[in-house]
Amino acid sequence: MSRRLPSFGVVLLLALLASCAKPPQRATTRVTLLPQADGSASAVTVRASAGNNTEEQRLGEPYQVAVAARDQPVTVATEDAEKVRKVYGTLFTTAPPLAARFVVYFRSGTTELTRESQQSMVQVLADARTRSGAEIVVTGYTDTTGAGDANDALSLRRANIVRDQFIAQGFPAALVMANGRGERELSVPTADNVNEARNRRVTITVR
Amino acid sequence: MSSRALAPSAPRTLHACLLAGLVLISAFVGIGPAQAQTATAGTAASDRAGTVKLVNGKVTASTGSAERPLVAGDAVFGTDHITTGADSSASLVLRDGTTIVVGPASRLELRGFAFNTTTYQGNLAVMVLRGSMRMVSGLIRKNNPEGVHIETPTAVIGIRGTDFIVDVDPAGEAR
Repeated sequence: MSRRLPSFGVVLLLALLASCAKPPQRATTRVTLLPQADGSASAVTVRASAGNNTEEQRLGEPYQVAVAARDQPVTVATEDAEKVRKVYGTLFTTAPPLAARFVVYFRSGTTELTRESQQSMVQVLADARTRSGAEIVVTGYTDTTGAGDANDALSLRRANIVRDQFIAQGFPAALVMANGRGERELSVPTADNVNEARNRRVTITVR
Repeated sequence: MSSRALAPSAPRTLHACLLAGLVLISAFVGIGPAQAQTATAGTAASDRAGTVKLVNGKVTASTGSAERPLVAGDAVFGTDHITTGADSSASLVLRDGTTIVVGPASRLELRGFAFNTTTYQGNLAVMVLRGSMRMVSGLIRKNNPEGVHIETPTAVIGIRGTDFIVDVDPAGEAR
């Protein structure tokens, strides 16, 4: 008896813990698929995270809703678009405006931007001033001349040149990012080691 | 003696619940210092996972024990726990362009973020504990759908597209 008592106590404690923990386990999750901004196809899958119902449900149409509750099969229904926008109003009104994208080019063999591109820089700053918590993301790209690693470094140098100009104009340094993508995502697809001015570019995203 | 323990009265159950709660709390206190250390490391500028865009009402973030109010332009870190008050909401954009909107009376935990700006490889883990979140996924999902992990207390969500809402009702009532 004296040996069994402690283990009985442990079982009791576990049982009480389980009963105490029960209310949060009743949580219900609703997942709603929204249409893509560009109208393209989209989907999410929903699976119950515990219990015996691990069957996965797939939402492939906008405004389909999956409901997952503990120890119950995931159910799928279609909701009214207007109702979704009403129930989750703040999720739409608090969303940041869509990002704006600019492309700038360097004068051949220099680290100076072309005249058109200098005008784009002014537009970027004007756009950024209209946004709450604005960030400027500068991404450099190269053509396929030279080695991949060297192009990663070169594209980052070009991006940093542009980044420095925004900082010089007074934009907060912490909110201007410079990335180098090297010869990935060529604007004009070419074979390796091809000199192509349109691939030596820097894109600027304001968000 | 065992019969008394087997059939506890209602107040006794409450008592045991409180005791069990204390056991749980002490377990959390044990974890506390380790989380605090992560928080200190997480405040380095290079660890910025994203930026706060719009804030309405009372919105806070915490890593470990240090809680801070969030305002537009603030950094968000990869282990931040974000809490919104009633009638409050916030949006943030992570470094890979993933947009997260947190609805009112919500609690969302970032459980890891990594993004390589050269290769666009990375991962993101989010737990929605209560309330609502809208996510428009970014470059991590575009390059590797398995790199984004979204969970709630009752579901695991896989992303094959970009724009969706996750809503967790702790009471389990259907809306």
